[in-house]
Order: sequence, then structure tokens, then C-alpha cells
Amino acid sequence: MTRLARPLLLLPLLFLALFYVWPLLSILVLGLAPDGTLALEQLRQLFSPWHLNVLAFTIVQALLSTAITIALALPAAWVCVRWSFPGRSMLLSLSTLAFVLPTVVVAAAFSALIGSRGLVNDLLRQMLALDGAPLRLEGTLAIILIAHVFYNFAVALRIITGYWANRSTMHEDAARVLGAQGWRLWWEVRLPLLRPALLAAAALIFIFTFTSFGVIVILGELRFSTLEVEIYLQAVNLFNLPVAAGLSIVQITLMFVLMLVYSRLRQRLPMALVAAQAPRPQGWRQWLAVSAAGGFMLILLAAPLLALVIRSLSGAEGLTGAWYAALSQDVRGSVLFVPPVQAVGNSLFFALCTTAIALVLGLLAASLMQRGNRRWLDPLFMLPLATSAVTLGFGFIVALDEPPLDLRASPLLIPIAHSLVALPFVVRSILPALDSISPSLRESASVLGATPWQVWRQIDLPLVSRGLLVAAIFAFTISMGEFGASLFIARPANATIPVVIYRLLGQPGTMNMGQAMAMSVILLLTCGLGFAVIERVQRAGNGAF
Amino acid sequence: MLRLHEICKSFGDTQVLSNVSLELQNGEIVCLLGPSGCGKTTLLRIIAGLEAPDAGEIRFKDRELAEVPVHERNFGLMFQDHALFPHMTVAQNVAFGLRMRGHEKVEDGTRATLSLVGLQNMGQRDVNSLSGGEQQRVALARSLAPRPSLLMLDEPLGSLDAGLRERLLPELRQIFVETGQTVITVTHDQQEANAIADRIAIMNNGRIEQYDSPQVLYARPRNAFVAAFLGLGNPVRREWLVAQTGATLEGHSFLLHPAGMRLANAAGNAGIMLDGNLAQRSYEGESWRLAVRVAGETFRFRLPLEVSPVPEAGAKVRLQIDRDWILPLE
Repeated sequence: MTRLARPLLLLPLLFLALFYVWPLLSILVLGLAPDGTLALEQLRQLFSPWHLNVLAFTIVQALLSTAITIALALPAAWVCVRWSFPGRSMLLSLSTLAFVLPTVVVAAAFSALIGSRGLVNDLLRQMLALDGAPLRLEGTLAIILIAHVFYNFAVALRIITGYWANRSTMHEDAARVLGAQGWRLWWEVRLPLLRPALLAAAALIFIFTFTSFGVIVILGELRFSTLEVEIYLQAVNLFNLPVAAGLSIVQITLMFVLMLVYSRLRQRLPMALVAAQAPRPQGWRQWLAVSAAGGFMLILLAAPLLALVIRSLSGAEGLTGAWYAALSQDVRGSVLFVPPVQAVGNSLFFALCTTAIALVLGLLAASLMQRGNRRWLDPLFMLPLATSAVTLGFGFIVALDEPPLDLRASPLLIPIAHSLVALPFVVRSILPALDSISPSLRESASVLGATPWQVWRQIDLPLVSRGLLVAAIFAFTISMGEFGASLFIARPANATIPVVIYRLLGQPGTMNMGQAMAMSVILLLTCGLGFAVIERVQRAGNGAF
Repeated sequence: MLRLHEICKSFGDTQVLSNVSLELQNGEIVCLLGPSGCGKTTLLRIIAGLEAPDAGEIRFKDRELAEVPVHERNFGLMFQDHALFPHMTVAQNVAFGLRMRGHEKVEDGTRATLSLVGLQNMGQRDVNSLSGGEQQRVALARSLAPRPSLLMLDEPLGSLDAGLRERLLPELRQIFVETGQTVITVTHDQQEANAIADRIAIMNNGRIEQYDSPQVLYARPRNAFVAAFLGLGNPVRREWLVAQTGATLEGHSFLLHPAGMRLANAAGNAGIMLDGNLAQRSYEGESWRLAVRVAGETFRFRLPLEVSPVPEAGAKVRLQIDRDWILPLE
């Protein structure tokens, strides 16, 4: 990088300061000293029975989700590591796809499958000749937990299989020779050895479910409130900004602690895909185990998505494209004020802006990290990961609404928020590519007569292009699916796809339901396509250099 | 042509180079030889301009190089890992330096250099698909193509297997001699240095111990480090030598050069005789390698195969030393 370009490297830091630190500080001030003087008594409101209940529910549902996810993923991981069977890599990819899907799509998919207007209820009603829906899961803890398991299955699966695949079977073999078998082998050898992976997976799933927002507001129908949901309700519905700020402070503090715990646990973990050289299952017992695990994964991961697609195409008289067609119409009396298709346009525009912003900032940040002190730069750029989207959105509302930074009306506000959410992923995609360039390549180029700018242009840039592509897709899909922050800051005229889906799902009537399904499928396909490209690029990248 | 004057360099608390001075003639092939960590690669990087010396002066054709950035020095440097650009073909790699330096006939230059290293038909190949030997040739061609006024090679054959190395060595020297290229190469391998260099600088602990032709180095190692590094054996102290031989000598320590050692037979009695035990003998195909212990010192030397029979290990033997091969060390 030339001397002229050096100040550019500070741009990502400026961005973080302006759009991350400043909003968070504003929340802090609002929560602790709304009138300019320290007012701790308003913190007392936070300890009302209602808010303690919210906190308790947040923790309980996160603990339950974590425990159930790990309990279900453990046998599946065992089967995936132990044997190679047809469809294994497809199942692993499917689980990862589930993890990267936007929350509204997941919520819509579970509505389509087991909601009161869902596929299973329709079938049951027809079979049992009932009038109402026999399964009433919306607004129950059960449907929230199921969606959380769907979401986080990949987290547990990846961490556990990665850990197992990297361990030799030495200890197990030794235990076998010493006479351990059956459950004792599990209890005394396998599980204790797996402890670091289980702990790391549990910590990460707890973090994700602790900050779950979309799933809870959509599937829980606001009958449950987590911290995240409460912040939103207090700020937007009740306009009680100081309380929302106080809750945000609690949320931010807990998240930092949790992230710290997780990064400690994570240090002992190798991350890898499942080794390919596992044997085929043999004998009916092994085949039974494989089929059971595979079947379970297929039902858990594929059924909701399939139901979503079917629902988006089925009307009262069977197959129909009516819901998709309706997306371009401005239905009178709609909650949206604008035809849904405009949201698609909005989302695409925001996603492109986000990609551009996040890519430039990410590339600069990665270059900065190559030169600077990584010990503090690396965690710094990962910070947005440790902050919930709702808190970010709230911070934007609080901080960026007055001069000198009044961005309320700016169309860039949403892409800026999305860039902040995407930045950690973008940096993580570019940095390894940049790191893998051996210094001798750059040095060779300079000895051969390349100026610093030419070195960057001829060596660095082409060699990180793969990482840049992955980063771009990450930024694009994250922006397309982002829900929590968008809900806060999007105005009716520039609502994004997830916001519109949320509003549609909250309305009665088959028309709204059908349109929500159709929009969700569009989002599903966009993210699925992006995910497929990323998987392909990363896999191809393993062999090349 | 190149003149290094008292170059010093440290990384943190570690002194990597201390007062290194070296001179090179135009067209000369010089090898920096030394154990790993002796500072030879750092010296190369300083000449290339990739590191700045803490003190000292580098002059090239009487021009001080301190203010000349890497890309304007017009030197060539071939890295140990070859550092081929993975996103370019063989020809694009070779053409890179020509393009950067703004040569007019990039294609001609590339083609000519590729055929010089015997890769005329490989221009379109992907560098990731090449074997180690082919990669080495591409790296060489890439550094040679812009006709650098000084070519440096860092362990050029380091990553290749022994057989390939032996074949490529004479070829490498031939290319340099044919093109009249001035070369500094770095290696830790004595055979490689001998085969390639006009002069060898033996480095140790950031210093140059001796700078001479391979022949002089072998016949007249200056100090104990050089002698030991070249495998010529350990020095003996004067007191020991006087006690064993009764000879009168000036100096502190001496090398009994293996070239002047043989087993005494009944007939020969020229030179100095030392009585000892055959501590070890190992068969090496064209010769025997013997270790003889005399009064607490061990001497190793080779015995040509035609001398037979060789005594069994443990036998009493008499060592015959040629006076001319008793060398005083610093």
C-alpha cells in the first residue's frame, strides 16, 4: 500500500466509532443519565417483577433450546463422523443452510408446516374431518424451541463433528482393550473427551438463542417476551426509551460476558469438515442407526422449507401462482401502504449498498490487521457480532437522529446498519485469504520491479478475489435477511423483505399468509443460492492454493 | 562491483549480522555458506533492499544503495520456496519482471529465458501443476528474465530431493557462466557451494569466517570453525602435538588435515608416526572411513579401497602424518 493510501486504512475504525461505539454510548447515556445527570433510580424500574420475569424467560428458553439441540445433534454427529453414507454431505449442507437462513424465513417456514394455518394442520383437519385446527402451537414455547433447534442444529453438528473428526481413535481403542464397551465407553471415555466441543457448542447456541428475536416475535405471537423483544416493545410500542436503554445495557453486558466465555472455550477447538474416509455402515443395526439419524435430520431440516414452498404455491383450488402475482399489487386496505414487490426492490438496493460498503471497509480492515496489532484489532472488528441487531437498531434511533449526525431520513441508514452486522463475516472471509499470501510473493514482485501499488494490484488483489467473492455474498445475503435492526429503522416506504414478511404474517387472511409465503420463498432462494456459491467457492479453494 | 562495508543488523536483542564486509567482482559467482541461523539469508535480504541494515554501507558500481527502494535496484532474488505467483501461468510468471521494468519485447524475452532453462514448451502451464524441479526452473527463469545486474538465490535447491539436486547443480552453474551473470547464492550445503561457486564466504554467528575459493578453503581452513564445518576435523593443541611428536611448532592449535593421513605400513616411515587404536571403521563404497584414537584425540580420514586389508575395529594401528598437512589455525 502506498503512503497515500495509509490514512484510508483508518476508515474502518472511523466507521466503527461512528456507527457502533457512538450509538452504544448513546444508549448508555440514555439509560443511566437521560437528563445529563446520573439517575440510577430509573435503573430500579428494571428490577420490577415483570422485567425479572422477562430475564428469567430469556435464560430458561435459551437453556432449554441449548440442551435439546445438543441432545439431538449428538447422535446425528456421531453417525456423520462414524460412517459415510449416501446423502451425508447433503445433510450437512442442509443443516448449514438452515443456520444461514434469515429468521423470518425460518419463522414463516414453521408457520407453513405446523402453524394453525399450516400443512400439518390442514392434513389433520382433512383426515379427522375437523373444523378448527387441532394443533395450536403458535404462541407456545414448543414452537419456539423447535425453531431454535432447527436453527442451531448446524452449530452443534459442525462443532462436534469437527472435533471428533480431528481426534484419533487412540483413546477409545485403549479403553476398548481395557474392557470398556457399550454405555460405559460413552460415559467414561467418549463424552468426557468431547467436553470442550460440547461446551463450546453449548455456549454458542446459548448466545444465539439468548438474542433470538425474529423467531420469538413471530412464532411466539408476543405472548412471550425475551430481553430482545422487550427492548423492541418498550422502544417502539410503548416509547419508553430510558427503560429500553436500561434493558439494552443489561443485554450488552451479558452478551460481552457470554462472548468472552465462548472465545475462551473456542480456543481449544479445531474447526474442520468431517473427514471423508469413514467406512460404510455394516449390518442392519448400523444401517438402522444411520437411517434414523438421517431421517430425523431430513424431517427437521427439509420439511419446514418444503412446506414453505408448497404453501407459497397452494391456494383454495390447488396449485396457484396467485400469491406471487399478488406481490406486485397494491391491495387496498393493506397494512403495507406499498406493493410488496417494492420491498424486494428496496432489499436489493440495500443489499447492493451493503455489499459495497462492507466490502470496501472489510478489505481496508483486513489490510489494517495485516499491518497493525492483531491482539486488539481482531476482537475490535468482531464486536458487532457480540451485539444484538435489535440493540444496534435501537442505538441508531437514539444516536443518529440529531445534528451533527441526523441520518433518520437517509436511505443509507439501513445499509450502514447491515454493513455493521456483516463486517465481522466480511473480515473473516478476506483475512485468511490475505494471510495465506506468503510474504515472499510480495517480496518477489518488488524485487522484480513492482512498485508497492503494483504489488497490491498484481499480487494481493487477484489472490484475495476468492475471499472477496465469499465476503460479497455474505454481505449481500446478510443484508437481504437482516430483521432486528431493519424493523427498528426501516420506514414504511423503505421496508425490506423481512419486515414485510413479518407484517404480513401478523395479519389474518389467506391473502396475507400466501404473500408472506411467496416472499419468504424468494428470500429463501436468494440466500440458498448465495450459500451454494459460498460452499462451492470455499470447497474449490481448499485444493487450489 | 558490489561492496558491503561493515554491515550490522539485529532483530530485537539478537545480533544477526555484525560487521560483515564482502566484495564481489563482475560476473563472479559467490556462495554464502553456513549453518542455519548464521545470518546468510538476512544478508541477502539486506542486499536486495527487503531489510535495512542498522549500520554499514552497500555500494553497487560505486553507488550507495541505502536510498534506492527494492523495486528500483534491478536485482534478482530467487526465494527458497520459489514464491511463484499461483494465479499466473509459467510464462506470465517469467514475464512479470519484464513487464514491471517496462521492457519492450516481453514475449521474446520470456521465450528466450524459458528455453535457457529448458522449459520452452511449458509456457502455458499452470504453476501449481509443476513438479519441484520444474518450479525451481520457473523461479530461476523469472529471476533471470529481466537480466538483473545481480542475481541472488536463497537455498535455490533447498526444497528438492538429493538426486535432482546433484543433476541441477552443474546445470545451474553453466547457465550463470554462459550468461555472465553475477550471482550470490546462499546454502548450508557444502557440496552445493563447492559445485557452484567461484568463491565461498563461510558464515557463522553473523560474521564471515573465511572468504576464499573452494580449493583454498579445503586446503587452508583459517580457523577451527571452518575446519569443523567443512568436516576436516577438530584442532589439537600445541602441547599435545609437541608431546606426541617432539616437533617444534609455532601457534596455539593445529589441524591435522585428513588429506595428510594414512595408516603406516612396514615399508613407509616418512612423516610423523602416531600410535593409536582403530576406534571405528565404516565402509563407504569407494573408500573406508576410519576413526583412529590417539592419546585422547580422534582423527577421521578416508582410506582408498585398494589398500587392504583394513584392520578390525579395536586393533592397534600406527597413523602416518604428512608434515605439510599440519596446518596452524587462528
